[in-house]
Formats: sequence, C-alpha cells, structure tokens
Amino acid sequence: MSAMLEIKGLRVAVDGNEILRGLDLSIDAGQVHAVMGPNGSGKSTLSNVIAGRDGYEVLAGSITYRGEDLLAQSPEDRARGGVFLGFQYPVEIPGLSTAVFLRAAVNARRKHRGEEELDAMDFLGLVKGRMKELGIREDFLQRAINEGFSGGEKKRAEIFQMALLEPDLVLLDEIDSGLDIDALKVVSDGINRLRAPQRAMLLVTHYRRLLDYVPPDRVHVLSDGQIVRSGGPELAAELEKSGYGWLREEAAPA
Amino acid sequence: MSALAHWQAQHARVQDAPAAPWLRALRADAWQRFAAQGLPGRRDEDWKYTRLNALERVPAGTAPLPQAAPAGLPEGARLVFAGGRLVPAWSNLPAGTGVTVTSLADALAADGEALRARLRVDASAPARAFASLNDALFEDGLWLTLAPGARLEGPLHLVHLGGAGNASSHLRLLIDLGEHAQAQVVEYYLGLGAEAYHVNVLAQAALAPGARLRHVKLLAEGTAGIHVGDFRVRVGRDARFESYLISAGGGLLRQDLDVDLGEPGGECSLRGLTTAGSGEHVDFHTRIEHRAPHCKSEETYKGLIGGNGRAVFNGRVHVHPGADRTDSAMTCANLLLSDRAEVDAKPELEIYADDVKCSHGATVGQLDEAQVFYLRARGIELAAARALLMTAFARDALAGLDGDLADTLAARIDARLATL
Repeated sequence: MSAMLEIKGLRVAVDGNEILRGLDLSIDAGQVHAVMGPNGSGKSTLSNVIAGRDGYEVLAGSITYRGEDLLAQSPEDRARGGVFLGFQYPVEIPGLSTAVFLRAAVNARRKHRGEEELDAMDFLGLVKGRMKELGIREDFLQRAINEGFSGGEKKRAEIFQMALLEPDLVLLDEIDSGLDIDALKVVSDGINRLRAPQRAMLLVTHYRRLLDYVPPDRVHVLSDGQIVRSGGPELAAELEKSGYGWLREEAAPA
Repeated sequence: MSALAHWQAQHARVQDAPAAPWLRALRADAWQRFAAQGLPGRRDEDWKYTRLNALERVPAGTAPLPQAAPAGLPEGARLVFAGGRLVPAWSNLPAGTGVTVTSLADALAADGEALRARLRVDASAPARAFASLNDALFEDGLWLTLAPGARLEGPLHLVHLGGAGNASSHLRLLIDLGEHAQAQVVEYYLGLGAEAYHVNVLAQAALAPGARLRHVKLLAEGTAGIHVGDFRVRVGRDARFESYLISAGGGLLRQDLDVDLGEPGGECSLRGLTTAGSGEHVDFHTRIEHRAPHCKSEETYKGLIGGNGRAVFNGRVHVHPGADRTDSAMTCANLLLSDRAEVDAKPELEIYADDVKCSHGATVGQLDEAQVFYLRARGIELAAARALLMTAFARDALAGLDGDLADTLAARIDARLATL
C-alpha cells in the first residue's frame, strides 16, 4: 500500500531564501510521525507548504497525498480533502462568530464527502458533545473566532476544530507551545482520541514533552531544511539529552 | 439638459402655483441664496474630494412611476415617496397616541402657520447650497411629531424611490420629539433604472429633553443615482440620538450629518458603513458640536471600498468653551479591497474646553492575509472567506440594532458585500 503522504525532494523558498532544501518524508495511514528541529530549521515552512499557504515558493520536488498532487490544489481543496493544519498561532477574527465559521467549515467538508450539509440545529447537536470533551466554555460558539482567547484556549480550540472536521491527514504545528501541563494533557488527549488506522498525523514540535503524551511511531530530525535523521521514539529522548547542537557538525556538508 | 435646468423649471413652476405669501417669500429668498452660493466646488474645503459633474448628466425626463408598488417594501408603518412626492396608495400611516404624521404637501397646502414657525426654527443653521435649494424647491416630505411621553411602536419606515416620476427631487423631513418621547425612523433610498437622477434631502430633527431618536438611513440608489443628504439634529438635555448611516449603492452619495449637543447630558451615537464599488463615490461628513457640559458622543464608521470605488469620511468634533466633561470617541476604519480603491478619512478634533475626554482615530488597510488563509485552511472557499471577513468587519456598524430591522439590514449588507 502506498503512503498517505509522500514528500520527495521538496525545495521551498520564502522571500528568495531557500528554507527546505531537498526534504523527503513518507507517512502511512495509521501512523503518527514527529518532526523535531531547532528554530529556523524549516518546521513551520513544512506544515504551511503542505496546507497551501501563500508566500512559499516551491522550487522543486513533490507532495503527494493519497496519490494526488497536493501542490496543484488550493488550500480550501486540500482542507476539504481531509488535510488539517493546526496553527502554531491561530488568528483572531473579531466580528466573526465561531459558530458561523465552524458550520461553514464542517459543511464544506461534508459537501466534499457527498454528505448532507448540517443546519444550525444539527450543527449545535454535533458540537456540544465535543465541546464537553475538551472542556471548552459554553459561550465559545457565540464568541468571535479566538478573540481574547489565552494561548491555551486557542490551542484547545484548534484541537476542537480538528475533532469536528475529522481530517485524514493532521498537521499540528507546535501545538504544544505555550501550554501549561494541564492544557498539554487536554490537547494530547484530544490528539490521541483521533488516532485511527485510517488517519495519519504529523506533529511538528520543538520539545519532546508533547511526545511523552502522544507517542509517535517515527521521529524525524529536521535541520537546515533537510531530514538528517529518522528513528523510533527513542530518538526524541536522545535529542533531549544532547540538544540540537550536534546537528551543525553532522549535517552540513555544504 | 442638466440638473440646473431642472431646478430652474421647478422654481418657475412652484412660484407659479398658488401659495401663501410667506411661502413664496421663503422660496424666493432661498432661490436667491442658492443662486448667490452656486454649487460647491473644488475651492470649498467641505467638498474637496467630491465633484458634482455628474449632475450635468441628469436627463430631461425620467421613467414614470411603476404601476404597482415595488416588491420588498418594508412591512408595517411606512411612507413611500417617489420622485420627491408621497404615494399614498403604497403607504401605511403609523397609529399611536401622541403620534402625528403629516405629509408636507398637505401642510404646505394648508397654509400652516405651524409649519412656517417650524421652518423658521432652523433658519440659523448653516446655509449650505443644497439646503437653500431644498428650501426653494421642496414640495413634499414628512413631518413626524411625538407629544411628550409618546412612543412610536416599531420603526416608521420612509421609502424613497429615485429615478421615477422626477429626475430631480427635493424631499424635506421634520422630526420633532417631545420630552421623553421615543421613536425609530428608518429611511430607505432606492433607485429605479440605470439613468442618472438626483435626490436632495434636507432633514431636521429636534429632540426635547429626555427624548430618544434612533435613525437609520440606508442608501441604495441606482448606479447613476446622485444623492445629497443633509441631516441636522438638535439634541436636548439628557436626550439621546442614535444614527446608523449605511451606503449600499449609488453613483454619487453625499451625506452631511450635524449633531448639536447644546444642552447638558445629551448623547449621540453615530455609526456608519460605507460600501463603494466601481464607479461609486461615497462621501460622509459628520459634525458634532459639543456646546454644553456632560455630553457624550461616540462615532464608529467602517468603510469597505472595492473596484475603483472612492470613499470620503470627514468627522469633525468641536468642543466649545464651557463644554466641560465632554466625552467623545471617534473611530473610522477602512478596508481597501482592490488596489484601485481609494479612501480619504479625516477626523478633525477642535477642543476649546478643559477637562474633556476625546479620542479619535482613522485607519486604512486591507483584508488580513493570515485571516483569509485561516478560513481557507478550514475548507472555506476564497470568495466565501473574503465575504465572511468583510461581514465581520462591517458588523460594528450595526451594533445596538436588534430584531427584524437588524436582520433585514444585515441581509442587505451581506448581499451588497458579495458584489464588491
């Protein structure tokens, strides 16, 4: 069986600077992979380019999702097709209610899957249960998107959106940054609940801490725009012990 | 043919018709004043960004009134005007004790001393050219009076259809609220047809102590419609005036809104939304005169400008000597939706009193790319994402409205935003 996500020889520039410099990565359905690396190694670029954000120039290589060329698709088509990006910094959108936004998002996904769109009542029924699971406040739906949320609330809201949209490929960009232990547990539980044989996950993180709660199948070390090492969960522990300093000596033949 | 030729013909016609001597004199004076003033031009600071050349394109004739009332007129109490004249068959008068609604055509025909006195009250107001023109040429309009303590149940709608019946119309509105009276007035200006036409509205409101007026004006004129509106409001002691001014279409729209806070404890809240698309020019000028202590004014205007649309916002707050404890806040935020769209936003603050709290700010920006991407990354199409963000941006303009009126306006604005 072919991989759910297959990245080959990916080279990406931002403002003329090459950030990803020939990256290869393959994730099968049912697997959770972690990409770790120091600041500036290209972690956020990787998740953004998979999700289709503007401003990332693909110089070479390919991203294939379920056998389709993902780079040819708009961000919204990728999302409807099951790609979900949990943002490192979820944006605030004053004036736009979370309920209106989420219903539009859920219905876009349902329509793509050939399911009937939900009306306001059905939608409420669907979300209320999920909100409880993640300890999300009652007034959440009436509030403007992420407006005035704390860092932890924003990340929990991302996980909540993920649970609602039932994606097939989950990209979580530093979902653990800025979380205290309690919030990290809630977020991790939310991620673990979604682990499933038909779903692939890519956790992008700077710290090992998240991986204690969400044990990955594979860990990759990203440095200077390339995956320089891959291994099992033990690689994360090793990294924590030795830090990222060793990468520079080992990884830069150029 | 141009608007000027219309006005000359209108002037000759009204002065030929039988009228009370005071009215003839008022019209003659006003016409002379207008002739001396001329149309405002580039040299007038107040008209710096707005040209009136489009008036030359107003044709000699215009389409006749439609046979039947247009679909979608608001339910409930409504006065429907077309080409500056009341169409009684399409109108329903509001009921209520202490509520008097008079058509100005009737009031003029009745040779009313009351109307003469009422018109004299505001004679000291700024003599702007279009106001002079309105004095000289108005033949109809609305006079709403609420007795002290009276309350108008539900909004009174005023609908004006431009581009039918008259290529240049002059409408006059008078709103007088007695002590602690309370009313909601909603004006809709709709355009018929694609031909140029001109609508000139002069409105005057007087709020006695403790009165409350909520006023909505929605401009949805035709693509070649020219609307010049001038609204002057005197807010009495502890009275409150709320204004919602919304532009949702029209070739050239100019609205002046003057609020006089002349007695202690008066308040006003002015909200507005400008939408301007290609070929459209929208110019809002507000002036708030803080002439008494302990008054409060809040102003929030939003602008969404697309295509080669053009918007102007000029908000002046003038705090007179002695108007201590004035509390005044103004914001004007604009989004340019294309690189050909233009806006001139200018807050003007003049303070001659101590012990005041005044703030103002104006911003011009674009849709936030990070927000657009966030929505797209959740499966929402680019066009829908932009529409949601525009609606979110515009939302403040309607804050405080509720019920059917809020829903109706929100739906209209959403439909409008989809065209920008």
